Amino acid sequence: MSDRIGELISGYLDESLSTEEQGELEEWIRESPENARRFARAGMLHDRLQNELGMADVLEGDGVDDGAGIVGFPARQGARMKWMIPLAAAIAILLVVFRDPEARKQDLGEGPSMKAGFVTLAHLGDAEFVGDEAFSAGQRWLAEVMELKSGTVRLQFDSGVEITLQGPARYELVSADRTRLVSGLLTAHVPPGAEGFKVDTPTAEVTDLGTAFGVELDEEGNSRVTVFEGEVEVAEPGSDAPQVLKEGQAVRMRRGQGIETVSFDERPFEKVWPVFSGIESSSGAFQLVPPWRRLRFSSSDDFVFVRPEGYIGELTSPLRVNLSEPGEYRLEEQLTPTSLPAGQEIRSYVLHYQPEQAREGLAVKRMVGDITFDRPVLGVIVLHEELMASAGRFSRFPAGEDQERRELNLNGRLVGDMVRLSPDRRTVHLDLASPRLSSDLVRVIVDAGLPKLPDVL
Amino acid sequence: MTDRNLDESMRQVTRLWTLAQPKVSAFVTSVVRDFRDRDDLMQDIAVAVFESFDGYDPERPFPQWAMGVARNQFKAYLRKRQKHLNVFEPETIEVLEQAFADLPAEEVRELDFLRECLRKLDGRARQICELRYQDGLKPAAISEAIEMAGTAVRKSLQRIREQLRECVERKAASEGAGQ
Repeated sequence: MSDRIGELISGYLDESLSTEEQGELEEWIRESPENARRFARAGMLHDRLQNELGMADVLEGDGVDDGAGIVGFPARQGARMKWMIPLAAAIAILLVVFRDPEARKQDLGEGPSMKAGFVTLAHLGDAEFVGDEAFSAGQRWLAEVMELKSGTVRLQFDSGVEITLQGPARYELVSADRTRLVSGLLTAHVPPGAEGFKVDTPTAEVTDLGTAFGVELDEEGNSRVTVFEGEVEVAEPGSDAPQVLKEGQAVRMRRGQGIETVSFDERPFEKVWPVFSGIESSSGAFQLVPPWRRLRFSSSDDFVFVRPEGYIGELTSPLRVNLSEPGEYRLEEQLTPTSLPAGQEIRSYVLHYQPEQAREGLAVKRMVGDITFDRPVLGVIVLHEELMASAGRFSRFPAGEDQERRELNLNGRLVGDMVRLSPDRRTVHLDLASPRLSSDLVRVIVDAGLPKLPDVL
Repeated sequence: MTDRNLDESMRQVTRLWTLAQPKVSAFVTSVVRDFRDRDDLMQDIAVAVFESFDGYDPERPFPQWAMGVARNQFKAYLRKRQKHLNVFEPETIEVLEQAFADLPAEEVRELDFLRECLRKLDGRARQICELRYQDGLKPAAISEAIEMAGTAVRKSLQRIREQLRECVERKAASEGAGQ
């Protein structure tokens, strides 16, 4: 969602607003105490960030007094006080060293001394390539031209950018943040910190300003750019007059004909959603919702909605799950709870069933389906306490975790629910009993760490 | 005033200033923006707070009083500066002074998780954050340093801060739940 005020506050703190924009912000601040409070909270964070990072090197060193000896600035306040020492501030500036990620990798022994690849082939699916080269998931790439005859592939850049390509397509990896789509269709997700990632086409230059967009080329090389979430900048090749596109907007760009606004249409990208979302297949009652579409409380009598919660990320603290081993679970006593450790790369999914209408009498409807992920399931959360504890960790939007009745009813009875994790840990089978107006919520945590295979150089 | 009274007064102002300082610092950063100017001004404010503490009425909330001292020092700073500064109107500054003074203590405390959240930041996001806050570069200079479009740098900074805000709130909430 576009956040004009967020942009203005951020731009103000970074001193990049025009006089008019600053005036607009000022007017907004004065409108209400709530607005002034929001600004103040942003100012607090900004100030604290500078205090933490501005003296980071000095803090990590051992040559600077902790501040305890300075009248009025006790050591207890730690970093907040450090900048009060002008000499230390000067040292901080001298100590600042910026490191490039490649160099850091070599220091950590993660890569060979030669230049390492920057893209991993994360998922191949049913993809067929032009030529006889054999590819496998986990392969690393440096610069490469990929010619896809059919099917879909998912690429994961070291910067966190995820690209899903749908064949037939020709895609060139120019560098870690610049690529070129010569033909075909792609969707991209660009996480924070990787903004500026570019996809060039014969008729457009698309620069991501965060987070998800799609590019589709027709046979003449005309481009259609669709923004699902966040913003992108589009420009004609060689032009210095880019246009910013926001969420829900789309443009068509034909050679020499400028940028033409067209209606937003997700349908061309429907085929790549499952691969983009890390889902291999689904059957029965499951219906996939793309990660960018906000269908939080969708009701349906016939479908269990599957929605990825955000994108791939690292667990910042341990996460409790109720079910961690393959098997069939009909009773709470059978559950295999565990705690997934912090640092694990994961992707979270919500499986959500909410009927539209209360059923008559005691009628029980069963919703049954399988969902297969392209990576192993690490754990499944089915009980209220753990659903609550995990609420808001992967998506800022709640999924109704606060309602106790949404947990699975594992009582082994006719109106009970059943969940099964396949031996290869990739398929979750749900068999939900829905007596009258009963809704269910399940959170599935999938391993998103990539397999490591040698670089293809 | 006896030595003992002086000691007591010093302890009191130190304690009160320690609590109010994060808010005053954030207020000053938000109106001055330049980090070096902020540092200079904060030193002047700290000295003024200590020097004029005798005039503080203990019936009033200390952060508000300290914020008033900060405002006077800020005015003096504007007078001293010859070059044109693009700062907010006095009425806006007044509104903000109140907003910063009124921020609940728990919101200030939850920022203690920031260091932990910063450790999770890596790659390009970490680099941009360090360039901005460790080296004090503005988006245009960052854009040049890492060859990234200016709009992308600005957007990235906005998203990094949003991400950090979410992280500290999440940690504060889970800490609260665990207690």
